[in-house]
Amino acid sequence: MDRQNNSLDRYWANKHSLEDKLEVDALFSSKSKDHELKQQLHQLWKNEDGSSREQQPNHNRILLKLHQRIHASQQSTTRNRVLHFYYRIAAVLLLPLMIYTLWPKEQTQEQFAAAAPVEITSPKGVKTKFYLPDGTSGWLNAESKIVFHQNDPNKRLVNLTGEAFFDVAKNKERPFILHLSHFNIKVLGTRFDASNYPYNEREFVVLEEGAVQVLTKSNKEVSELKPSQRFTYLKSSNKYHIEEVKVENYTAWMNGVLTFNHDPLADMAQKLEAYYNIDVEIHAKGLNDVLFFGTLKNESLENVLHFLEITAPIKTKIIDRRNTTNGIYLKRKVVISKK
Amino acid sequence: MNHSNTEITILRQLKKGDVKAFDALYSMYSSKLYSFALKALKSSSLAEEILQEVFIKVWEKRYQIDTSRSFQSFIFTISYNLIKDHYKKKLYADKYLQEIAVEALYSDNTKSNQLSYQQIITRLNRIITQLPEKRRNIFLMSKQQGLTNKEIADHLTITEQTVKNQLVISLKFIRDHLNEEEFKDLLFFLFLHSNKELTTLKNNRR
Repeated sequence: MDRQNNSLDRYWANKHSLEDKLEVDALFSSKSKDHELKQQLHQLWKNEDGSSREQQPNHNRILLKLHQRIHASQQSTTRNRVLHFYYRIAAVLLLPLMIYTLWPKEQTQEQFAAAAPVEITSPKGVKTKFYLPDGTSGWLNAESKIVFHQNDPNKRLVNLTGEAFFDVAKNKERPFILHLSHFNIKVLGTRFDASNYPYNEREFVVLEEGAVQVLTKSNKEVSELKPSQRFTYLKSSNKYHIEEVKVENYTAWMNGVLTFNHDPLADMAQKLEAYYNIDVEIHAKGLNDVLFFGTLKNESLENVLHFLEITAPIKTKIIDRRNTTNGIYLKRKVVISKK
Repeated sequence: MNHSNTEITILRQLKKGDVKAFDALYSMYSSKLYSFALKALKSSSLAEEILQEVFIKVWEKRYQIDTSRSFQSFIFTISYNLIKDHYKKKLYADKYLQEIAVEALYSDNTKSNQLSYQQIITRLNRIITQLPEKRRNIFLMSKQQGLTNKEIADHLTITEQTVKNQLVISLKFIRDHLNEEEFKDLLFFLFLHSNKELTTLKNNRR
């Protein structure tokens, strides 16, 4: 008994050995020890004053999420109540007349009423903050659209064209499934960025927090992503790969901020690609020791390139978007070369 | 348990569906609840999940709240049940690592007590990723997915003996590296503290 209590104390204090952990596991797993476990946890609860501020999460963000979930659940219950009321009236009035035809109709009507999909679009050059009825929020990048389907009680279906960052509300009973052109992404609750522009060569997903599964269009699992990993699909070669990336490079567009932190040319180019939705081609050997730093907010691509030309020994050229023979639109491209 | 009049007023407002009352309760108990769940589960994302689930339940069950009884016990009971479930789920996922640790550390029972549980798990994860891909797959099929040697052999069309050999090599690799890393950490620690002691240690080892 004493030995177990010491193990537990060390476990609470994060100073437990393997033996301690095995003792604590036994306490949590055995039904006969339920009462004891509850007492021990109650003691821990009473002693906890929540004063260790440094390890707290962002409570404002969590409270906002809770508000969205409360709001979502309230909306659906009031609407159901109103519908229910009208159906009862309809049933009383029409049942004697149309007992055969109304029965199947009532069902389909009910499905339609709940099915109205939510559609959000963001025009060229504009970033849009969005909130979905299930509590999910995020940002929609320029020239992008999401459609949220609410009719399936077992899952949340979203179609994305373009790029968006999702902060998905947790709901294990209703997984969040994002449809891209060539892949589906299955999520329980997490933060990630997805890009699916029809005219781009790459379709990709970058995970900031939690875990997501990448599925084929027929919902077979391709792989599972860990935080800071990017899944990229290349349309022309029909191949995909997974790599470690700096997540900030893929989320900076939301804040309208572009930050270079002593970045080498290749990283700087990667940031420009993600931020302006362009391709960058580098024809400059021997510039590896040039580091870029600085913060730019809401600048046009032309201005940014101009700054770069002033501060580094490079010159740049913009090639406008064009159509290839196989029907794919290429992105706007920037060519960087040595001055 | 002492609960003030202000809290009773807040709870009455909550039962009327007042979101401001909900916010007040959140700011009163969220830090405590989060730290509590973090101590019990050792995972910030799980602790955050508990925090959200508890407060969603507070909102959903607001009509059932008895204002004459302690709100603290109310949220403790909800969080106790959630924490128990999550602990068991996490244990199930980590079980195989624990078994490897027991196998690797207790075969030579010299230094096992010096390592904390968290250190062991972090190191194991790191060492396992260092195994060559094929060997790692065999190892994980056996330990993580619990397949028998025969099942693995059939699946990969290799002999059962090869599976056995690969598993022995993997376990030896893990055992050696757990200890080796321990030595490296020790050297680094000493280096930070005193160069003289490091020299003594080196001499002693010779």
